[in-house]
Amino acid sequence: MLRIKKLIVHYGPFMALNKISLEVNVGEVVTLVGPNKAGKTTLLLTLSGIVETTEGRVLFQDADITNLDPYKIVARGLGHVPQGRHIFPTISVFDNLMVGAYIRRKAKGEIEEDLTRIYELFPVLKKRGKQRAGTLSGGEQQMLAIGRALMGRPNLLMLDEPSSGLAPRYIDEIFAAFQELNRRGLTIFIVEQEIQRSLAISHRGYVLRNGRLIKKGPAPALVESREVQELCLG
Amino acid sequence: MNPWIHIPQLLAAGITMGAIYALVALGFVIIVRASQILNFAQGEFVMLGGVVTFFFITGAGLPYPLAALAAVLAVIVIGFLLHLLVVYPLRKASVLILIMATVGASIVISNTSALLFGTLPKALPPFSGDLPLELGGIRIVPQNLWVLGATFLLFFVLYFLSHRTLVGKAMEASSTDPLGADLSGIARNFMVFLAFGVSAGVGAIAGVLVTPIFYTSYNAGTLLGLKGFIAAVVGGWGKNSGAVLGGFVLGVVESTSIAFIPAGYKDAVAFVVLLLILYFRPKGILGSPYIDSRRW
Repeated sequence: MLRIKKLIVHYGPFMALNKISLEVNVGEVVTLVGPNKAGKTTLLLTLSGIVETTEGRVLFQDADITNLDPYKIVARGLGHVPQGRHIFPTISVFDNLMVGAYIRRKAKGEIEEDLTRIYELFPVLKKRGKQRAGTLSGGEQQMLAIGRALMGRPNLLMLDEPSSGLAPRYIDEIFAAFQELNRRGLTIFIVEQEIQRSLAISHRGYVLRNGRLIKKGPAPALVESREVQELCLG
Repeated sequence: MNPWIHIPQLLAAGITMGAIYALVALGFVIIVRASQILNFAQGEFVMLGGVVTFFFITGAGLPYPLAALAAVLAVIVIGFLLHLLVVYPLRKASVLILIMATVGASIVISNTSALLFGTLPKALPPFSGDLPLELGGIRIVPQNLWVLGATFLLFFVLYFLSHRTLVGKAMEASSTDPLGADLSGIARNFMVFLAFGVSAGVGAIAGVLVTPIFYTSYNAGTLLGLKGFIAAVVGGWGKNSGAVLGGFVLGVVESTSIAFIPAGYKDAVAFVVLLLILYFRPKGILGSPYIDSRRW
C-alpha cells in the first residue's frame, strides 16, 4: 500500500532522513520506533507532503505522491494524526470532526455514517460535541485528533506518538481503538517511543536512528531485541 | 461655550464613522481568520470601491447601482489578484515579510489609482437624497442610515459564513492550526485566496457607502486602513464581533473628542486609543486567549 524508496530529506545542510526504504502492506499495523530526534516525525511529515523530499520516491496505492500538496495526499486516502494533536481549539468538537471530512464534504450520507462509527469508538466525543475543542483533556484531544483523521476516510492512518503525554487509561483506550480499526480493515502506521505497547499490536516494525533505518522485522522479534529496548529507553 | 451640547450630534457622526471603521476592520479579520496575514492594503479596497464606482458612472456612463455593483466585483477581482501576485508567491516566507508585501501592494494600488483615475477628490451622490432627518434634535443624513444598515447586514452575513458554514470553519482552522488544516485536507492557499476576495468585497462596499459622505481620493485608503486595523485590535483581534465593536468605539471616541480638543488632532486620538488598549488590554475588548496565544 505504502512504499518508500530511498527517501532523503534535508533541513538546510542537515540530513534528517538518509535513504529510507520501507513498506506498509494492506491490512497491516506497522510501527516505527526510535529515540528522540531520530527523524520519525520528519518521515511522517514528508509522507504527508508537509516537508519536501530531497531525493527518493513515495508510492501510495501505486501512485507517486512524492511532494504532492498535503490536501491532495489526504484526498488520496493517507490520514495523519500529528504529534501534539493539532486540533482546532477555537471551534467545537463536532466542527473539528466536520472539518476532518472537508475533502468529501458533498458525501453527506457517508459523513453521517462515519460520525456514528467514531462516536462508537470514542463516546466522549459525542458527549462533548458542542464543547470548544481547546477545553478537552489531553486524552480527549488525542481521540479527537484520531477521529478527525478518520473523518477523511483514510485507507492508511499514520499516527505520530499517539500515547505521548497521556494518562494510562487513555493509552489503553486509544490502543484498543487502533486494534478495532485494524480489525475493520484499516492499515495503520504508528510512530512511537512507547515500544512495548505499539509493537504489541503490530505485525512488523522498523527501527530508526539518526535518520537511518537500522533494523526491521516482525514485531515480536523487535520487542525481544535488547538493542531496540536500549535504543528507545536510553 | 459648553462643549457637551455638541455631544449628541458628534455621537451620531461618530457612529457612522465607526460603522466604516468596522467594515474596514472586518476586512482585516476575514483575512486573519484564514491565515496569519495582516493585509495593510485593506484600506485601498475601500478607496477603490469609491473611485471605481465614480469611474464607472462618469467614464463608462453606467447607472449608479450598476456602477456600484460593477465596482465591488472589480475590487473583488483585485483582491484575488493581490493574493495571486503578491501573497501566493511569498507563501513560504515569514508572516512579517508577507505583511511588508501588503504595505508595498498598498502603495502600488494607491499610485496606480492616481495614475488611472486622477488625484482629484471624488464624490458620489447619496443613495436616497441628502435631506437630513431630525431625530430628537440630532440631524442625520439618510446616507448614515445606509452605512449603519449595511454594516450590520454585512456583519450578520459574515458571521453566518464564518460560523455556520464548513468553508468558514475550514478558514478558521487554517489560521488557528495550519498543520492541522493541511492534514485535514484543507487547501489552505485556496482558503486565503477566498478570504482576499471576500475581504476586498467588504472593503469595496464600505467605499461605495462612505464616498457620498466623506469623498474619496487615491490616498484615502492608507489612513482608513490604519483606523480599521486599530478598530480590529481595540475590539479583539481576530473576531468579527470585536471588529464591529472596535469600529464603533473608535468612531465615537474620535468624533466626540472634537468637542474637547481641536479637530486637527482627531486622527491622533485613534492612535492614543490603540496605545491605551495595547498597554491595558492587549487582547482587545472581546479578545480571546486562544487567538492571542496561537496566532501571534
